[in-house]
Amino acid sequence: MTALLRELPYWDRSSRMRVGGASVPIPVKAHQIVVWVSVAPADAPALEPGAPRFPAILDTGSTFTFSLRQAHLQGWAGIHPNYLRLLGSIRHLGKYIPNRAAHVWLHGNRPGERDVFTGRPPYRLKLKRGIAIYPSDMPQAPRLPLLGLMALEENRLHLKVDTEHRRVTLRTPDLVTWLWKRLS
Amino acid sequence: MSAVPQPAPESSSDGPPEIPPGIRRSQEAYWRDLPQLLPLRSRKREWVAYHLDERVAIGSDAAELYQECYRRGFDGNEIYVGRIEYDELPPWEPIDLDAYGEVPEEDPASIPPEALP
Repeated sequence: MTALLRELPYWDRSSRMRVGGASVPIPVKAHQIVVWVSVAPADAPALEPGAPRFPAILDTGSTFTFSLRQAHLQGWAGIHPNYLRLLGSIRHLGKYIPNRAAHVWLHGNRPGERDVFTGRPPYRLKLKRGIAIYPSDMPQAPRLPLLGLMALEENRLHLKVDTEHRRVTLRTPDLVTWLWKRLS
Repeated sequence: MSAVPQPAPESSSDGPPEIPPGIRRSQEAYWRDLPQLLPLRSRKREWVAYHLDERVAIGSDAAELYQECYRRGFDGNEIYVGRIEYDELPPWEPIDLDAYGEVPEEDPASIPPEALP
């Protein structure tokens, strides 16, 4: 079992965070769970050292794996969409949004901290349909990148939200889970 | 990593974006074979790579399968690496988020009478 997020906090008030060297902080709404990720093409065996990381909202209500605006992909991940292979599309509010072949790498947090990281290597979330890239000027495009429940399901991860203490834990299956699946 | 410049515009559209023909053909081969692959699935056989109509390799890691395709000299726009697991839709078919798993709200019969006040 590997703990990917440990005691990741979220708050009942708005907060702010900085991405990369940006001078202007980004507002985060109350009760939004923020994780830090990197994006790389699906054919990349490892995340390149120094690959930029950026925030995403862990949104269990999102019905796709990972969605973001093109401006965030280019500005924060440093990747032009045309560099990622076109795999298909999603249909959202009557518009077709392209899916491109990429995997998302999740950065582990230091327990109790949201924006401070462990020294452990990031964990790759393998996404069979890739990521959805919205045009930046589309009004319905997500304000911040969204990591959806489908991404956790595809990677068989276990999510625990302790709403009493506003802490989130995410881990890979443990031995008990594995044995239960084998025996059932 | 292989550069794959593609002409597809990054804008939403009223029709699905056109998948490069080589990738589409490989996706169709994957979808054709998936029923036979499902019983073979294991931790070491989680992903499968196709080049057009040919199955290239099966493995535990998608990135490694891409690299294997490149080692064999295949064009990046002619390969597809798919997951060996059940799926309702073929990979080229758009996922409709507007209707994804929703109960039809307009249909009064979807709400049992005892649920109403």
